[in-house]
Amino acid sequence: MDPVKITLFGLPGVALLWMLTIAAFGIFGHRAWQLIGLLRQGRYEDRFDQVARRMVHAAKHVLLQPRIFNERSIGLPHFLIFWGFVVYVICFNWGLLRGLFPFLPVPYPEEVKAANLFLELFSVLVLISLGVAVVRRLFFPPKYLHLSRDANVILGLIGLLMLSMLFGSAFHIVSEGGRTSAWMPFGSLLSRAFAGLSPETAHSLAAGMWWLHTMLVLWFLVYLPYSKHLHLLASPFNVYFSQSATRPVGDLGVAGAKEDLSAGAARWQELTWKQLLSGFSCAECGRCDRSCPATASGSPLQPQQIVHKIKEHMVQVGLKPKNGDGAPKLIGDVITEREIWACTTCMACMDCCAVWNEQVPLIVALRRHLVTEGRVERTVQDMLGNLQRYGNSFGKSDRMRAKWTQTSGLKIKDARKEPVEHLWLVGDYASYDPRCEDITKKTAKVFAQAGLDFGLLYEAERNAGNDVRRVGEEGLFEMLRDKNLMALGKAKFKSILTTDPHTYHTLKNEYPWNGNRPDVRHYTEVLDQLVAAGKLPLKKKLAGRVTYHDPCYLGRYNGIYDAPRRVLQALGLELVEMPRCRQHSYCCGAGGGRIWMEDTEKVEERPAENRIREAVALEGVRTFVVACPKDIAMFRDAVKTTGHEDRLVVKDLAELVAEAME
Amino acid sequence: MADPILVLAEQLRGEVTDITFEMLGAGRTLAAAAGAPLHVALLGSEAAALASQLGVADKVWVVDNPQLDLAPAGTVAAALKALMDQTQAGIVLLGCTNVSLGIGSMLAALAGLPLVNFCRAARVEGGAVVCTSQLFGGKILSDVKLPDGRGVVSIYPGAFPAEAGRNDQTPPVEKVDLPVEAPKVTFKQYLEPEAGDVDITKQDVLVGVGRGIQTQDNVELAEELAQVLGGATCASRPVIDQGWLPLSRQVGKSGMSVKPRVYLALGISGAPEHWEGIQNSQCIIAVNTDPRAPIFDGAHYGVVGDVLELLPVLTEKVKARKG
Amino acid sequence: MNLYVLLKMVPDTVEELDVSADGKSLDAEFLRFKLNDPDEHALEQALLLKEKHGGKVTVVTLDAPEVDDVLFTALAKGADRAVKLPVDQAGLGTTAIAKVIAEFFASHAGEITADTLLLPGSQAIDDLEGEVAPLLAAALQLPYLGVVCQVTVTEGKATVTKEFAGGLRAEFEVTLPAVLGIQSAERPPRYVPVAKVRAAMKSAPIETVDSTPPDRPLQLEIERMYKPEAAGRAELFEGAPEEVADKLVDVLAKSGVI
Repeated sequence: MDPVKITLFGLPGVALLWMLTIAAFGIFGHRAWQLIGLLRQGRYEDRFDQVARRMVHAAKHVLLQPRIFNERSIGLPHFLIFWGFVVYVICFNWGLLRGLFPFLPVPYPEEVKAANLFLELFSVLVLISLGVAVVRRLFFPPKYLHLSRDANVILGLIGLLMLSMLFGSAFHIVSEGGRTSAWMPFGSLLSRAFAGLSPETAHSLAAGMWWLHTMLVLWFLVYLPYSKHLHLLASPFNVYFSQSATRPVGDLGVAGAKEDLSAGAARWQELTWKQLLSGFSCAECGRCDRSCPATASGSPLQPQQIVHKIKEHMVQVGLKPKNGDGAPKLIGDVITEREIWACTTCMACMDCCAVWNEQVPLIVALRRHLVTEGRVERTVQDMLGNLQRYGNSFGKSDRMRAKWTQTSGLKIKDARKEPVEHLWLVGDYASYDPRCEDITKKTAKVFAQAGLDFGLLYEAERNAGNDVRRVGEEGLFEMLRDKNLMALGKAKFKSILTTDPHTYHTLKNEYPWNGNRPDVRHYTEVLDQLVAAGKLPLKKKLAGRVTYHDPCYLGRYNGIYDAPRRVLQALGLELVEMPRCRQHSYCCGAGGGRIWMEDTEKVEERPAENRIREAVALEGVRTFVVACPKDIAMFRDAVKTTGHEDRLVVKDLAELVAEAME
Repeated sequence: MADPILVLAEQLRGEVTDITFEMLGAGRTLAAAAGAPLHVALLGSEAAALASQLGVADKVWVVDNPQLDLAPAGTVAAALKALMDQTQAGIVLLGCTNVSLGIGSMLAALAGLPLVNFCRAARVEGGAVVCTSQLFGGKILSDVKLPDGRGVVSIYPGAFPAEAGRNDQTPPVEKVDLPVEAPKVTFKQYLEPEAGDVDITKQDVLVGVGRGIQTQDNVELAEELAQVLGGATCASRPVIDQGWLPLSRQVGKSGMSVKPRVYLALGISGAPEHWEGIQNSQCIIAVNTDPRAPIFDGAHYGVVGDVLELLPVLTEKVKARKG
Repeated sequence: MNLYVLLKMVPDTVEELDVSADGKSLDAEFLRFKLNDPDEHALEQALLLKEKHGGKVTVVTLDAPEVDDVLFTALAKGADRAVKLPVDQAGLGTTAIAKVIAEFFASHAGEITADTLLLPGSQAIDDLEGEVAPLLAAALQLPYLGVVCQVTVTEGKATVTKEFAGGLRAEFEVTLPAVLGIQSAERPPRYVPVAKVRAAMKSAPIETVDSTPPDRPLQLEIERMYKPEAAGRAELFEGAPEEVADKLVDVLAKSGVI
């Protein structure tokens, strides 16, 4: 049976097929070209390096798509729907080509037994998956599931495609005299229902199914670039071009930029092409919104909306003829300042994004523009002014940075004057905040007792600049970085050790060491190594159940999860994990400069409070262990505001180690 | 007898301000030490009516010219210069206040005399007048000599006791006509602070909040404490500038001067402009995270700690004590 | 409009201030300078007036440590000209400073026109000899008003709000040209990112205008400078909030308010 050997509206089937195909591909091609044209208007960045590594990354994450499985209920179904779609595309194109070129000595896929079996099995599996999806949607929709038109269209479409496949098979069997075959199990089953049809009718119906099927696909091809299903085509590229294929994704530096990006993006054309590609790649699954602490606390920020709004704006404004002054502004009209400032840069969104979108650099690019315009709130302005003038966010003299050493009971080496093995960059909070001073002194004592050869830069140390960069003040970040590099250049040391994960992250990943990067370690790593080498003189075992909070900049950003846990184990403590642990750790809310901002929003519940409630729900856990000075500030506060002072105490890992060494 | 010491009486809305009496007291002591007469200059259309309050002086010069009402510093300085010429005054005292700002500098320029600003103390030493001025917000003091014993001295509010400038005597008054140039700065109208529901200058207890209160929401906590204590909240300039409390609650140089029985300074660093407004409170209790905050130098009691932590606890305890 | 902002650097009190060995000046070892706070407001006010009425903003200052940074920041914020008078501010009292600035205005480089406003900060923490604003006004024989918190300009006149005390303010009308000592601008001083200041460093030059160092740096004789003795310190309560609160309640009870 050759479905194109028919005549419709006086036209031979082949001609009709050609017309439809050309029309569909034409419209699709035109639209795709328009969209690519938009991307090309974005700023340049180099994501074309290290092809081999990128291919491996893409292969893994497109074909095996492990991230899709991070949401159980939809993981396997999507995987199957994806592969089902891939197989069908192959078969469809096979069928289409055969239809367009009837003289090709190639059978239709349905005529090849193995292919047809394959197709039928897949149809049924996909239909079952669709059934699951539909039932889930209708009867057990998770709160977050929004029923969008695009989603319903695709489900309907795939359903129709599968059904037309199966029915086509059934009618084909009937038209051939009802001879069933093990190669066409479901078609055979279905054919029984139509046993009464005449062969001619069955033949027409079978051809009809083929045409229906083909036209649906061609229609879908046209519909695709106008819907969220564009992600089918865009996301594999997005994954290929993602930053994490080649370097740490938490590095806000852009490779190969042709213009100065420090002023940020005021218009969509000032974002890079890769940032603009995010919009096309987004499948609107909402995983990012669900993991975002800002969204959860009721702020207007939703990472998916940021990506989506930029796309809509770009398409709307970019494809219209000259808009003049009436065009909406990216920042202000499309995306509000409140949304832009609400981000804590915790990277939970990027960590769970199934298409590997990079939301945080996008938000920072918008912040950079606001900073350029001076549209920064008062408290942040004061902080930036302090950082510029005194090198710390507290507004205290740079000479006071190491004042804590005077009451530490130790003579701590000055790395500016003598060589040290470990150069300890303490960071602002651990140096200046009275809440953290005690812990810093204990940490120093622990190092001393462990026989570590360490020293400080004293007044020459400046804020490393991590949060400054994330607030969008790129110029100030560069200034702080240069000053630190100068001071580091003059000191002699073997490795750098930091208290604050923010310091750790930016020193390790965002400072230009020109191939000469020193060993940068977080103090938990150092403690872990000391424990492993037996060099930590622990005098007693601590008892009790504790839980550990993975700091964003240590965990998600730099993959350090086990070192602090090993230390806790060595101390004898029983670690009980919170449900959101390791890379799912829930941000305390201080990052991205948020700790400097005022809570003008009426928040439902601050991230730190949410986290404390999670900890308090763990049976028998009395201690909340942190490894970041900002966490100390945020969580101790949250314990009070949630009224759990008698239930939970917040301790730094160093404090516990000090206790065990007494 | 040495050249007269001339005090410029300061007025605001028909009243002689406190600084005038502080200056009279200071002037009296200086005059006695220098063996000089103490004169006062009272300018403007209200002058005659107010002269009787200035009995500490040996003589009151009244310049009853309406052009001197709310006249700019330049005009007042010119009038004072003329008066100085007429009376041979050697030293002029005026207030280091918003009202009088600029008069001293302009007079110094016109008369070719030095000006000593921020003066907190003055003495006669070896025939010369030595003033002690505070600089850099009070962090440094400077002893300054007036060469030739002549000059203009700007007296810092609260440095000298006002009682020393009051008595029940009536001073001799002399009217004087001075040429007054038409000023190029003319008064249009007063801008009253919004009538606050509360007059903080009449409260027994004030709970003052400064930057350390951190957010507008937290001002609520202070309000609760104030309520429980039967008092009111007030604030230092930064809090008012943010709009967290109305202008009528501002305490300090540009705000009110208060003297409650108890003033709780919460998260207030104690900068001189604020201190000026609270220094006469009977009991000042300060809470601040910075042990080096200047407020602790002047307060009676202090707590180095987090206001936000302490406030709710304190409020509860006060409630409990009140029963 | 022709707007001049007069800036003065003052010692930064974030640092501990110490007296030098000679007992008559500040110890310069760790001394840092920053822009006088009201001067920053004066600059902001000038920029706001320029935004509203057009014209030019010129910032003028004497030479002092870290002053270049301040000038470039002013240019980055939107000032059109930055003038550094090459006279060292160190050791000069405000009378001498005002004299140097007056000389600038007497020269062709500092033109005073019918629509000129001179905007220094209202006062500074080191104004031992008086404030720059009135001293300058006296030297230039211009009208002056201080403690200004609002300026509106219409047809050659300025309506200016001055702060008194107790929250009371008053409106005055000033004919231009005039000197206004700015206490606070209508809006808090704007932020300008480091990148823009750096760009200003590259593109916009700082002018210098010939000036004569004044022959009398100080009008007064400083006998000595010293740190005040803590006249009395507050009695400090320590401990957990509960304990401290108890002690405070006792104090409150003793004062008769509970």
